[in-house]
Amino acid sequence: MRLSDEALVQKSKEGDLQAFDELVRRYEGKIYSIAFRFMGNHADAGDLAQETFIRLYQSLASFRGDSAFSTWLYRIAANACRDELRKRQRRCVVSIEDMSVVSPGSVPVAGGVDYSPEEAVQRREVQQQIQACLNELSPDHRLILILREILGMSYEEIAASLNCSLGTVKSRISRARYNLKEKIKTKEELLSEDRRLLGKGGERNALS
Amino acid sequence: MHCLDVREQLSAYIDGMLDSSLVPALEEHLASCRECSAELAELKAAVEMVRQLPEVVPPPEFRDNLRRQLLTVQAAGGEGGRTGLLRRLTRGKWSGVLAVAALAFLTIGITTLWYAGHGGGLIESVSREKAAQESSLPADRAKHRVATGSAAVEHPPAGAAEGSAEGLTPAQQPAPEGEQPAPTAETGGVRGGAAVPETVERQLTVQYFDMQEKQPDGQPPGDEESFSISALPRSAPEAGPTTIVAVECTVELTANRADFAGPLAALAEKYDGLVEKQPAEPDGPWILRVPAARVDPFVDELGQLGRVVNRNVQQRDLAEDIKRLREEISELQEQERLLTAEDGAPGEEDELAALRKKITERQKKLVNLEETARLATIKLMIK
Repeated sequence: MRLSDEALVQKSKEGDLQAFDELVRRYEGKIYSIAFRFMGNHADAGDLAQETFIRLYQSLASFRGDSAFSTWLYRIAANACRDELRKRQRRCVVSIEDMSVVSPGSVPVAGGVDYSPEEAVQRREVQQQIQACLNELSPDHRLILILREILGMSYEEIAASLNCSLGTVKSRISRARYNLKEKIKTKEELLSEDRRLLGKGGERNALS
Repeated sequence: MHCLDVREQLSAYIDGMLDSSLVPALEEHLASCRECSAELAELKAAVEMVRQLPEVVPPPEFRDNLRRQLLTVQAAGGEGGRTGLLRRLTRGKWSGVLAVAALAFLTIGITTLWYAGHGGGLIESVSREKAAQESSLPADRAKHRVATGSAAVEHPPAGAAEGSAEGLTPAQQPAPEGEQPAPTAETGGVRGGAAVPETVERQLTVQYFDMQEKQPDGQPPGDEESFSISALPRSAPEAGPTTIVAVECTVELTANRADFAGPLAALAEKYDGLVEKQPAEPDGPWILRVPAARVDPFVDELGQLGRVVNRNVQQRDLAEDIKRLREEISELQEQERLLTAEDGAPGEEDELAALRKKITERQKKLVNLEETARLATIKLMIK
């Protein structure tokens, strides 16, 4: 029988490490993704995801069930992201050059859709560029986009999660999206120029 | 409709979060304005690209590493204090120790921290609870309550705030006359409590309202709230001045029961709170944590464990502490920024590391305060 998240929290509170393990199993993909999208590399993402789960464990007792467990957990993740970023501000500014060092195969991704090798390479390239654009955003904007677009949280959930008003969420998402859009456009132009210089041709301009 | 206004609405429009009354005008504009519709298409494309980012799989060793770390944390004990305590609680070690006294004095200290913006919830929960009792209140007090009750949406006029100043020392306040029905709504968690003087409970309620009124007028709560990210400096300009008030309320209670551990734990749990600390000896203090918004009904129900004979309320303004902390952080961060701007100076790394450590320390303090604001600390003494 599949226990609810809340039941697992209860058991974890009582010291049942297996129950906590199950919670980790359920959410490690999401949490690791948040961490990776936020930090931009695996070494930092691993640390951050661990930190998030440790914080979760330490604050289990204060889980009051006011909100869904997932919302509560994402909030812990969001706070962990923010704290971590202060420490590592410098390393986080990842340039296009840095991103291109990452080999295409180094981001293991979930999902079983099959693409041709050519398409797969292209997709990974786009994904890396989007990640690079995310890395260039301010932490606030990066985080709110992660909550909205990647975790698919509603405006209300985000407001609860970040403890701010709905109006703040609305305007922040809007500004974050505009910033991201501009970054993508800039990158797009840079890329097509690179390709022209490298003789790769413009038809693979993946961001268009 | 101006293009500039339209651009501001596009993001919400994409999510279907735009006020429905604005949609027709927006769509009309989009149909006729090439630039704006291109902008919408670009924005949608950008959003879609982020949405299609795949979930990233953690490395295989992730869970094992985590498990190892958790064991370390658990062994360390201190850090997981609350959890550990909770576990001890559920094993019931304490119930035996405490099942001694037949008559006990309870001293309850309540420390409540909340933001101006959070107060609405407090008022709401209270005013709902008390709505039925409104009619039995003396006219001026009832009016008072209504005025403050609406503060969740709109702050009361300044006159009301001044008038309430006397309410800050409720110990000297005459008990309001009039009859009040015993509360029946929230009695489920506690069995067999003795009758409580309703006046005290009512004064407590008034007390919370008065706290609420001490906030600066004219600021809608929603705007006062700071985004938890931007509440920390670096993007601090968006975080306006925040009012944080700590309230300490001491209540003495004569109770006609022996075992408090069970009822208190059940009560705390019922209000989504917890027993953080049990008394080390029979006379020691209890520490309970309850969501700030639910303190009032919690106290109401707590009063049913016995008879309130005395209480004392104090308040402290923490805004100054918060402000100083914020200023320190932004100062340090400015130093950090200057340091990172000029690369390569010898010894820079060490200086930077020390600086960042300081920043992190202060940020932790700030975050702690902000977290505490949501969860009131309730101190109990058994004598």
